[in-house]
Amino acid sequence: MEVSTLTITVFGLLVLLLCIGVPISFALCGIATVGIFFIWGPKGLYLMFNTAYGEATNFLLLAIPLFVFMANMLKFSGMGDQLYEVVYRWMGRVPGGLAIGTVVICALFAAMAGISSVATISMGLIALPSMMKRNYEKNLAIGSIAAGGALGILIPPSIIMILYGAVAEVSIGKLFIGGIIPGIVLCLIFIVYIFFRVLINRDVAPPVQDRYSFRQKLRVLGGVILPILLVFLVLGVIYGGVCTPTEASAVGAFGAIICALVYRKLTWSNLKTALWDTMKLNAMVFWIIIGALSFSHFLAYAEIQDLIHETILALEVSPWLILISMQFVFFILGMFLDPAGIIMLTTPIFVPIVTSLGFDPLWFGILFVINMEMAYITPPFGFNLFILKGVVPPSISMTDIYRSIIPFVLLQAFCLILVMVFPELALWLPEKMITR
Amino acid sequence: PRYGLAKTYKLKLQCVYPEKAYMGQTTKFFAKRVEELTNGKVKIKVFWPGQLVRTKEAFDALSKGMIDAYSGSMLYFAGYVPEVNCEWLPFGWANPGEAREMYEKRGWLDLMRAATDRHGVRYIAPLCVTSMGLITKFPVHCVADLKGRKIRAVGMEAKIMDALGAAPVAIAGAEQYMALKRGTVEGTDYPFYTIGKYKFYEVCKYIVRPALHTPGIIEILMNKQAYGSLPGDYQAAVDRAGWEAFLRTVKLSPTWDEKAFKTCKEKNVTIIDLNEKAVANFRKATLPLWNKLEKRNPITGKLVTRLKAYLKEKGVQID
Amino acid sequence: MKKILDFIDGMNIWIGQVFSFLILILMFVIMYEVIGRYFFNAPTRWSNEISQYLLACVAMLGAGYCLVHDDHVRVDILHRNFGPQTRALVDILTFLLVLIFVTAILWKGGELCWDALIHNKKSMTILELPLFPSMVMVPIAGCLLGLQGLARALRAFFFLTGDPEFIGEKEIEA
Ligand code: NA
Ligand code: NA
Repeated sequence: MEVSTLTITVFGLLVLLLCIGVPISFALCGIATVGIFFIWGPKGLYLMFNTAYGEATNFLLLAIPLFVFMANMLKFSGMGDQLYEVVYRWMGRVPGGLAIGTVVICALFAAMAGISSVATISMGLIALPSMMKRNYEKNLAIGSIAAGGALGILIPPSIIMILYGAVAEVSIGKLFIGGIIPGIVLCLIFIVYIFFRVLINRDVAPPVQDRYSFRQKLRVLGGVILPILLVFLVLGVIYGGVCTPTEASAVGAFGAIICALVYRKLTWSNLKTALWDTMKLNAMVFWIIIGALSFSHFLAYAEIQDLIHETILALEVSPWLILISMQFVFFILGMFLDPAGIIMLTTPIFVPIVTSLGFDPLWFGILFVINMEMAYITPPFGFNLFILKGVVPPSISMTDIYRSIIPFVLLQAFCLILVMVFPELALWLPEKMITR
Repeated sequence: PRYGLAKTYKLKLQCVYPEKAYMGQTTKFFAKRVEELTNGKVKIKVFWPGQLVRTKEAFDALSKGMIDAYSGSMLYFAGYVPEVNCEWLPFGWANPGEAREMYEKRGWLDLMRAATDRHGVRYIAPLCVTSMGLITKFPVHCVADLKGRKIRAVGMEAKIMDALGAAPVAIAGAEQYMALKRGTVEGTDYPFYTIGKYKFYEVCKYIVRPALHTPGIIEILMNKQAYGSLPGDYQAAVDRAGWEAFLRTVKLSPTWDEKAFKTCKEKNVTIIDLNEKAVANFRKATLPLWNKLEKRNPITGKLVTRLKAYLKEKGVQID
Repeated sequence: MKKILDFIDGMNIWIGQVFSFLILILMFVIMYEVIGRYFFNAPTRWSNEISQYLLACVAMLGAGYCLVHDDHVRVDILHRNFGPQTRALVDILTFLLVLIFVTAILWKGGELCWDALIHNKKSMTILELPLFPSMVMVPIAGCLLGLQGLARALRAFFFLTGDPEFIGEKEIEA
């Protein structure tokens, strides 16, 4: 079979299987196995084991179960309630204050957890009912939670960055620092948007009527101490030279247990539920990694990777056009696939091209992650949207949720463009903190 | 099969070094020479890191014929090819020429071939990977200076650091730079050319000469069946191309070292030259490793004994 | 038949839940290394390797557990709107795909594990621990995944054939 025919067949089959709803990991593993058998013969089948074993003992990926566990523990810790109380008492009377505060809490959660679901679930359960009760506009309330939650993968620590770093061989520590400024910028963009939206139309976010004395305000402030300590613990051990980013996941997980203990939420039932959920989510991520890597080994062997690489490099167009096209590809894929799958599928093909074109793979990684912020909230497959649907009251339909995210996707795209035009946003801090 | 009419063979080689790296270039040179020497009848397609199989799984993949050839270190497989440790004995040969002498004149090439043969793997040729040794944040003038220091090292290197009294720390290569920068570890045992290539000059202040390995050795390997399926003259061509690749690294390795030393001077990294007595002490501290390896199996025994004998001839005290 | 399938579900759930506690051990192992190294200047020789063993267990043994409740992520744009019959067909197709790669893992992976066992292959580290215990996790995961896939496919099959025992169950799921 011609390589080009093969390429079309393979990708056609993959799209078909994914469309009818076969789990992503199994579709990838299955196609890879069949493809390897026909192109490479039975000898090639060692690859399935090799890939599974190699990734299951990949030291860099140790951080995945631990960061997921940390997130699951934080979910149970009751930290979200306390943080929201702070926002409520301090910012309730500010126009749009509750939505702005929610975004800030999401950013804080993002700095503690490596995934996006903690903030989304916590705020979906706590902030959303509260905002709805105070007549916040549905779209604004839902959108700020969905988009705020997605910050979890851009503000370090981040499992998506760990995956990118492990495949693209970019320093995970640098990626982590590289995400800080774009994460803050995106957070500020959300805040400014909410603020002006409310300024234009006060009705979308009426101020809270409850008044609190300064003493009452001060009393709840204790709720931010522990989260901030935890943020500094994780980032502190990494940048204080205590341990590597991978090892920091264990420190963070331990910190999360301590938090749960302090908030008196460290029950046997919470602990085991957190572990069980971690076991499931971790297995899911690992099998996507295994499927996608097997698939990309197959693409390399069948010389499909070369074909794509050469075709793209042979295009007589500006490198920037290729880079922008890649962002479009990410965006489209992001509508349908989850970020872990996208990263594992595209990185082996895209990163060599990006490097050949003379771009910095670190910067490209940050662009990718910002793009994946959108993937979390774009329909039809938006991880945060499903999570939200699971926790919001039945009165809120999926259509409501879809509608709410539109302005936020545009804001994320704006942030993506900003970092594309000003690479320093992603590269300055790593340069400053690590290189010198 | 008759010469001109022979069919063409296409071999898939997994290289663990990026295309632009010295060893990536050397691997390309090998592939090119094989093709030239066989009039294009044997083509070697080189795959770059991670494309077919990751390093840790490469040896199994090679011995089972999943890939036809491999270029990279065998150190990862020292747990079942212990002979590779002999190629990494610290303070052994003093330059690539001496390494060549061992492989060419003292039977090392044949011994290494016997070692991998058991695993269904043909040892085509060694390759020199520049000097490899201590790159540190603190000065090292004698063995005592290493005492308790956290040095990033894995496998055989960890054993060496252990023997020298340092505390080996196993962290992933990708996390090395930052661990050095932040002081999580205080040094590494790594190829000297990385001082420029990986910008270690930004995070380390010293390198120590002579390097532990001058030079370190990696390998070009081939699946035995794939090798056996080639006609005899093509097999010879592959071996010859491998040896030419080795000679190329014998010649270039010192120039790569020189580049590293130049970088050190430009970037204010101090080059510490150990005096003769210090080197002797370093070697002495690692002797238990030599002796243990010598007793490991008949092949390691011969490899170590011959290397010791050669060093003695050169006037190096080794027991 | 239903009893056998329930048993498979139960087994995967049990394995997943019991071995999830290895995550805690993993956490303590790394903490021990970090504390020992930073505060006492005494890195361990074993934490790195033990962590990799634990990771292999956690990542591999969760595969079947994750499939019991159908938690492997999918594109559900169409799937969401499928009726129970169509979903049952997708479950059967999924099992066929699982069967294909699980066969590869068991066949070739089993061979590599066997080699590691009889030749006593060891790791490259100072400890030179045997590789077999971590390698064998992969074929075990293959078995668990294959069994769970089979259980799901059989449920779907009996549902399609109109077996009363399985009809209620599928409708609840949908
Ligand atoms: Na995060
Ligand atoms: Na999406």
